[in-house]
Amino acid sequence: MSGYAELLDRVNRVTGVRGSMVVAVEDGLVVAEELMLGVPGDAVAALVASIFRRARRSMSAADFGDAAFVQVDGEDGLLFAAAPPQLGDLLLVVVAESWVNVGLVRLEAARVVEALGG
Amino acid sequence: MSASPMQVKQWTDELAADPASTAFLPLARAYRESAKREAALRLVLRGLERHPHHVDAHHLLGLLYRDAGDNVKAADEWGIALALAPEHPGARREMGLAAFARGDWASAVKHLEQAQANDVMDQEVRAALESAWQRSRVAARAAPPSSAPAPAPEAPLPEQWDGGRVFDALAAELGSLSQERGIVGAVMLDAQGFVVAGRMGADRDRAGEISAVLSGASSEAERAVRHLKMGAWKGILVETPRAVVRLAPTGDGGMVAVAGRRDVPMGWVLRVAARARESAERFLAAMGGAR
Repeated sequence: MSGYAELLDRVNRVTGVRGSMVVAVEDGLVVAEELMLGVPGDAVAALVASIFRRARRSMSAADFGDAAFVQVDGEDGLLFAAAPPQLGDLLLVVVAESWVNVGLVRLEAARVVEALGG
Repeated sequence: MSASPMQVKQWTDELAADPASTAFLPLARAYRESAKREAALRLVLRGLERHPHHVDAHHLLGLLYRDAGDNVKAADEWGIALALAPEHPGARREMGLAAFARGDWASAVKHLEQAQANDVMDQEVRAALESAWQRSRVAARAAPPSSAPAPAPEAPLPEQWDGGRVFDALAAELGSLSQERGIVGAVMLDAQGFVVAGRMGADRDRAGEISAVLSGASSEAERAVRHLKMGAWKGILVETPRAVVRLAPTGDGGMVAVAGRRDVPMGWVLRVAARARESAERFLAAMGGAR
């Protein structure tokens, strides 16, 4: 668990990130979280996991392969959910401002995921 | 069935002895039935702090918010309950009745059909469902564009209705976008998850297969960004090893979905998706169906 916390902390250092979580994809339960005050982690985790499961089923139906990354764009912020093979049944969820450098977040997320897999 | 004073005391004692006990739920229900709404609300909120994924607690919190007249918060709680347990009968029922109360016939039909399947003897659900069916059909038939002249009483409908030409234009535009470099599909879905036009898939059309699964993504995305105070949702991007898919909301509560091969730049897929959305909005405006 402390390993997750340390790695989430790395993602959160990217300017514009409001927090990140490791979430179980099947039930939306939070495994680890590092969130700014006021971010409703449990509710968002449940909804993001549900969106991810839906995306995964639809991509499979379209024969596009397994969904590995989902991004939800709001007018004033972004949500990312990444499910690389290294994480098994877990999602890395990132909550960020709309002006965040998406590429940088994804790069840091990829590093985090690689480290988790290792 | 109301709780007896003995049961209330038992739950109260249990909770006092163990604050993590789930006895908060029947106790809060008993308080609600005795019109002690504030006490019930405090109990459920405290209970959810310890049990944030307790589906029945989210359902009860929704009922308490509805009792207080806060229908938005109520729908949020039932939405969370359904996100945690899509088959939850109580949350499904309340979502359907709430949609019916606000006149969202399509959403009401979707939820109430499932609620009716859960309990065929529920007369309130049956009555609301039948009414929602009728009203959704009337709404679908009604409303030519407001600028159009009123038809003569004897005029046959097909001569007045221009929907066929409007649909052909939409189908042609989405078909054209599907032929763009690296794009493997562009499709418009309505709020119930039905395909309006377009196709999806490199070899054969899979639009129908994926549309039903995607239909709930819109409301889930909306709730997720609302919880985070991020304003309205603007789109969802999904990446797989073989494809990039962009979903964008349309004015009728539906969405467009555009898929590109993974080897084309993501920015290109986003631009094609923006054009697909413009086509869908033109279609809705011409049909008089946009909200």
